[in-house]
Amino acid sequence: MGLQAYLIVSAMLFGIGMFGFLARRNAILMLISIELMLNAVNLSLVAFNAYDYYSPNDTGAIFALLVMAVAAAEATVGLALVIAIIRTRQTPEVDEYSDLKE
Amino acid sequence: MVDDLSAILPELALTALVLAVLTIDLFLRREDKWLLTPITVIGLGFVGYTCWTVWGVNQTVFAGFYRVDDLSVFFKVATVVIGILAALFAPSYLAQRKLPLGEFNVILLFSLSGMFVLASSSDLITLFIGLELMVMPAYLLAGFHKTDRYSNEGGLKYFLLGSFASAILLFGISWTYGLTHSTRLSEIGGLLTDGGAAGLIAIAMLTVGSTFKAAAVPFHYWTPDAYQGAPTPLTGFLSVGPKLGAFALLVRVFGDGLGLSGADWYGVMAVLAVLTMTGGNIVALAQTNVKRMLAYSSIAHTGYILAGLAAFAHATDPGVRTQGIEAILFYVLGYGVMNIAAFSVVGMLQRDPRRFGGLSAFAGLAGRAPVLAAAMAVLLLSLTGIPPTVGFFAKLYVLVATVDAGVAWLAVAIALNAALAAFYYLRVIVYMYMREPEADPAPIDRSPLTAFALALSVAGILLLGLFPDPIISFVRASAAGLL
Repeated sequence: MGLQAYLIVSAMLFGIGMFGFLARRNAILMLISIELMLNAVNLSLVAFNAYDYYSPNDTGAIFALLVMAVAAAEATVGLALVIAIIRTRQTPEVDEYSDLKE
Repeated sequence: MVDDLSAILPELALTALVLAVLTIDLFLRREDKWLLTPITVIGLGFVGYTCWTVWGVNQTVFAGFYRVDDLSVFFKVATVVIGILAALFAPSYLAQRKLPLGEFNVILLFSLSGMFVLASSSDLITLFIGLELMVMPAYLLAGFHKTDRYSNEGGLKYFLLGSFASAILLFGISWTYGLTHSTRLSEIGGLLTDGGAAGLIAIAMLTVGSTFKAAAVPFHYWTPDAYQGAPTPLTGFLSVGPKLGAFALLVRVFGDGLGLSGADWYGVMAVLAVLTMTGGNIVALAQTNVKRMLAYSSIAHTGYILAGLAAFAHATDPGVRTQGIEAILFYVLGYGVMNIAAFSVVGMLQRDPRRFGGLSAFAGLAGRAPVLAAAMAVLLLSLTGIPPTVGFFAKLYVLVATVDAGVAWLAVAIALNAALAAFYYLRVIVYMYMREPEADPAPIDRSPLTAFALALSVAGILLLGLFPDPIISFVRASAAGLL
């Protein structure tokens, strides 16, 4: 047990999020999948930081905090866009959003 | 030496401008809202002026997180130019659709501030924050017409795929940090040589994430939908602003950070460049909607610019290496002006909101609005790369850089693609000058502000095409800041 265990969990979370994004067709669930990917990144950042014996500073942990702030802002923008499109289309299913074609 | 706060004077001025516009918007009556455009444009002019105060500073501030060098000054000046054009082109289009001008200006300025931070970042953390600050307002601009189903769709697709790419980029950044024990761009150089397989994965994720933002094939799927859905003058900004930011990111990560191991990633960039220019051009050939055609052509332009990065990576002689970066800078600025103007001409033909800017809207334009048709012709010739326009020198610069760097096959690919692109650009000119107008032609927007901005862009394109020396010396001095 050590850094590797955390990295494996983080990679699995990232993979689940990526799969969810590609497999799900509901805009809100896709947004949740992106959040899962960002959380996987946070886990890896904090783990790298905790097991970093070379440099004593907490760069990774601070980066993780900043990523959380960015993720919150991203969720706000995303939900605003989802609400706008549900008002005009009455559905969150992205497969229905196919007006833009040549 | 300057202190930290004087070094970020342009950023401070821009942030103050955002807050000022946001506040003034609250106190203006509806009929006085037009004042926001002059405030934004003059404010941006002042921000552009403050950029010169940090010219030649070339130092790292804020304990290594931020780098103010001539390269960043170039990107900031280009950002300001694009911002001013975007602020001038949009108001009349927005007014016809009763969209709020104040919010547009604020969102635009926020996006510009993200581009400023991105251009100056010397640390992966600053880089990521700047990137997100740039693209999040861009998602909102794509979905700005919130009661329009096309704009909604474009905005949401841009957002979903953009955040997906951000997450991938971030995972790459995290592993870069884990492997090199640092987030400083100057210290991640050993990633490829010492990182082993994990280093390769990290660099692959960095490449995917950043080329996604630049809209390179095969990571371009969001581009046509986002560009077609967004309100047209805003599409103009989206196609050049975030792209400029994405190239600032690429230059920072691959030039500053991984520049010394260029020989290792040159192949990937070269293949991406060829795929992007060819893919974008071939699909653009089949488009009948001019807005969507310009969206695909903007993908092709990404390919030409990536070729500059490939030339940088392949060259060994320092002078030739900088030439690749110079080509990127020149192309990004020239392309920025001509593309934003071309999109807004499409917007001018959409005065009736139900018109979508198809190829038929351009039929017989030369008879109905000779000056507008001539301006569009100049823009299209410049996008094709025909002298005496700035587009010609942009392509020439990339060609010279690739040939000097010893990747002549890339130059051949660019030349072939330029010929391919000529077909669909010139087709619009043929429609404008040789076809009869439709029975019920689309009304043309003749607002003086848009006409002024268009005249400014066309004059810039021609003047820089005839006398490119000032810009070339500016680009040379800026690129020297990198190495």
